Order: sequence, then C-alpha cells, then structure tokens
Amino acid sequence: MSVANRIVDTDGLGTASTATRPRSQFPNFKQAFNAIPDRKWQIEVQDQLLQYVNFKPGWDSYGAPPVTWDAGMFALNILKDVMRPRTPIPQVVPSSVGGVQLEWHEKGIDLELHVTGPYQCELWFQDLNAPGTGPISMDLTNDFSALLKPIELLTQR
Amino acid sequence: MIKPVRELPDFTRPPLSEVVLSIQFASLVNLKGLHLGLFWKQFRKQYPEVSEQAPIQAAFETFGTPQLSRPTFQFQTLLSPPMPRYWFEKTGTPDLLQIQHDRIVHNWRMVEPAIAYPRYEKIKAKFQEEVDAFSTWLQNERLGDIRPNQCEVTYTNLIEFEESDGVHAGLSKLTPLWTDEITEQISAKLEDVTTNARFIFSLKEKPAGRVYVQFQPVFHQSDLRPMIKLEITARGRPDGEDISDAFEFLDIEHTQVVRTFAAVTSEEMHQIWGRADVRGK
Repeated sequence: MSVANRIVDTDGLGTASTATRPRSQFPNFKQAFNAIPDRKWQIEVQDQLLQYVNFKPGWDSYGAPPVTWDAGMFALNILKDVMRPRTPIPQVVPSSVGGVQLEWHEKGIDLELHVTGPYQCELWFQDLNAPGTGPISMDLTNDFSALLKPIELLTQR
Repeated sequence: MIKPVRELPDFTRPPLSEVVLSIQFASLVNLKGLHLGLFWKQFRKQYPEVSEQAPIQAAFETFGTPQLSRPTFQFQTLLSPPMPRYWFEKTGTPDLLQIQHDRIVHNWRMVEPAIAYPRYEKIKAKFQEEVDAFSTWLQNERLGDIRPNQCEVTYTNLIEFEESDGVHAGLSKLTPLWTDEITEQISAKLEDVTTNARFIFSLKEKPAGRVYVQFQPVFHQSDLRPMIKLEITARGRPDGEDISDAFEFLDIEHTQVVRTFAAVTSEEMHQIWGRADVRGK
C-alpha cells in the first residue's frame, strides 16, 4: 500500500494526469527517473526494435515492410511479463511481414515467438532435452500462459 | 429482501467527476500533426482550442503470466519525430476530444457542479459521431483505417464527506475493501490510505479484460479540502477490428464499471448517492 497525497486539478482531468504531486515516502533518497529503462533486456531489445522500425521498405531486397510500431510495442509488453533477471535475452529478428520474432536457441530449448501485431502471435517451442515430446506450435492472442514453461526452463537450466 | 428493479445499478446523485471513453487502434504511421489540423476544421466550432500533450503509452491486457510492475518504455518516445497527443476542447464546456497516432479519446468532465451528468448513452453517441467522422476523413485522405485493438472506459469519482476531519482515514465508511481493524493493533493514527484492486472479467468463458479500482486521498485544488478519488477503469480487447466491435465492447466495459462501482462502495454511501435500482425491505 503506498501513501501519497495528491493535488488534483478538478478542472482539467484527463487520461493523463494534469496536476499531481506525489510525495516520496523516503525524502532523503534521490528520486529515480522512471523514464530510463533499468533492465538490461529492455535496453537491448528496445535498441534493436528501434532499428527495425526505422528500416526502409524492401530492407530484405524482397519488398519486406519495416517492423510495425504496434508489433514492437506488443513484443515489449509480452517480455515485460515473462522476463526474469536470469532469463536469457532473446534474439530479436525482423520478419518479412512487418512483425518481429523473439527467439531463444540455448540450453536445449528452441523457443520462437512471432509477433505480427497486438494479440497476433505464433509460438513454436521444443525441448530437445525431453525425448519423445514433439514441438509445440500454437497461435496466441491474449493468453500467454503457454510461454511460462519454456521461459521457466530457459531461466532455471 | 432487496429486489433489483433495473439491470444496472443506477444513482440519481453519483459523485461522478469525469467519464472517459477511449479506443486504441493500430498505429497510423502516415498521420502527422499537420494532417490533424485539416481534420480539426470539422470540429472547430465545437472545439475551438487545441493543445499538445505527451502521447499516452499503448496499453494491452494479457493473461496467463504474472502481471509484474509496468516499466515505462522509451520505445515510443524515441521514434522520431514523435507525434504528440492533441487536445480539442472549449473552455468551460465539459467535452474534450483527444487524438494521437494510435488512440482517440472522448472525455466528459464536470467542469462546474451545476452541470448535470448526461449519462453514458449521450456521451457514447457524441464519441461515436467523432470516431465516424475521423474514420471517414482518414479514408478520404488515404491515411489508413481505424482498426481497434483495445478499448477503455474510465469513471472518476470525487467523494467528499460532510465532516472535513478524518476524510482520508475514513475509507472504511466508503468501501468494504478497507477496514480499520489494523489501527487497533498499532499505537499510531491512520493518516490516509490508497487502495488498489484489479479484477478480470470474462466473455464466452475466456478472460477478456480487466477492471482496475483505485481509492486515493486527494485535495481539492481551490481550497485544499480533502476528498477521496475513486477511479474505476475497464480495459480490454474488442472481439473484432471494426469500429462497431469497439463500441460493443465499450458497452460491455461500461456495464463492468457501473457494477464494480456499486460493489466496491458501501450501502451507506449508496443511500447518500440516491441508488434508484433497488428497493429496500
């Protein structure tokens, strides 16, 4: 539970705050600047996504569009909820349809998540250390529980 | 026995100060600020004032994974040049239209106590007019189509009590989400408390969105009198990518918000606010 006193501007409320002044619980500490990413994966993935979003059309010599802003934002949103401190950072690869592919190929795990837009994803996963179990392939929209086990394996192995 | 009279909870004197209807859509990469100046001509009489704000970050409701703290991504702001969010309004009137590259929003605000709440259906009708006009204009200018991927309904309430002392510590009077039991165990006086709750609502037995509830101590800007702000937001993904799908989903979210408001506030406050949809014993 946070404790904060806020001054509200009753004349100009909007979906963005207009006049609030949060009071820090710990006034002797310097305030962190929330705008700066403080997770390594976030910095690396963001940098790559920014490059791909700014690609020129036909970047692959076959007419591929650049990665869309929406696909990039949604990919970041998914990672925010599954990445842990020890989870390996994914490879980030632009796809030929304006999407982005997040890939992990390590520790006997093959995991690929192709994000073509918000709520439009394809998952492909295989655990090479689990003989007898074939690859899993599925479309994902708003439920990403299928990612939990592969990410757990990547993190813990 | 209390019998429901109407389908939705209904109040004659709700402490409502703002209603926000928002549709997020696939980013219109070719839309620039200058283009919006052309669109503004259609609404200039209604909204003669324009201002620029920082864009709102895209929001997505996903399920099945832990909902950890939400970092702010620099991604959006590093796209150059970033398109701001434009406010279209008229001083002294309650309506505000907001547009950015991936969102269109209509706010109704109680700018004066004398302004009566027009009810959701009227606010929605105005918003629908604006969205339809924007969509038609985009197509005529070949700037893209509105393909919704998220909808949001927010109701903000500002609640005052007759006594000005102890307002911020009096949350237990307002909501069953907070009790005063803890203060009996510590030798300290409760000053204020912020309470957050989050609910998942489903459609066709699958998670469809979330309802966020926040009680927060605030002060009125003009005279610093203490109040409690109750903000309820329903957010989720519509069933399809048409504008009509978005408005259907806004209706569902409106229902969620109103039911949640009734559920998270006390019967004592319902009587003060004139709850009209139930009859007592």
